[in-house]
Amino acid sequence: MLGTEPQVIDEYVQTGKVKIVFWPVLNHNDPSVYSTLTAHCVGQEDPEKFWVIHEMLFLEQRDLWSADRDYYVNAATAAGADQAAFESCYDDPAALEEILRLDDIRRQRGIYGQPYFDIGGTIYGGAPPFESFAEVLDANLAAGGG
Amino acid sequence: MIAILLPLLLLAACSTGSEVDKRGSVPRESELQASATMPSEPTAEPVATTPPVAETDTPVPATVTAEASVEEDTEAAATEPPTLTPLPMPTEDLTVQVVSGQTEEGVFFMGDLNAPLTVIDYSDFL
Repeated sequence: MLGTEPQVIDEYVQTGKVKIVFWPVLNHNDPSVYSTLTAHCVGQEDPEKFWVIHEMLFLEQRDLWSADRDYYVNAATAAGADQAAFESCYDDPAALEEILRLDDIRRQRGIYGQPYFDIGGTIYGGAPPFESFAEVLDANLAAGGG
Repeated sequence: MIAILLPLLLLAACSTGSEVDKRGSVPRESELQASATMPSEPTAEPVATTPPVAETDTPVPATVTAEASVEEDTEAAATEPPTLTPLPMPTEDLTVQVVSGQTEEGVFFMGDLNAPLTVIDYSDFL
């Protein structure tokens, strides 16, 4: 969703029409797990910073394949997180269990690929251009949301 | 003779002087009585006629002006909505409060809590 996300946020989220929820999908082993764990721990400190690191990780997507703990600590502090608090969360097995639990839930919902979008209860797959996304959002809003 | 006449003349003169005084005092009393009745007559007249009329006249226009002012107020209130209609526009914008948080399920969200539509983005950072 990265390509269309800024426009969706500007035109639908900031205007109060849409609330967007990020549900992690861990389809690429450790890189998926630890990048998601990083975002989770930053968000635990401040939910607003979750969206900062969320954008950073998507923009640096290629680096994540080889990222290690130091990489994520630097990314978290760059997003404004407190290093000690972040490291405490990152090393906490409970935090790891939490993101694995969320990944299990999405599987139970039948979500296996990514990206997938639940818009008003209907699942849409792929990464459509903004115009297509907006068309679906507008139709749902006209129908009363959901 | 002179001794007899002089006292008689003096007595006569004194008796006529008292009459003059009495005459002079009588008209003064009547004048006083008249002057006492004059004020009473005019005070009775305005009390009986003009003051009540004046009192009844003044409240009527007072109530009329009050009614007129109420009508003016209601008319003014009726004309206020068009001037107030632009105000809800900015307040509607201000009511949009985009917040970030965590749902009960433990995932992060962004948007107005009262947003009519929720989009769940199932994504991997890779």
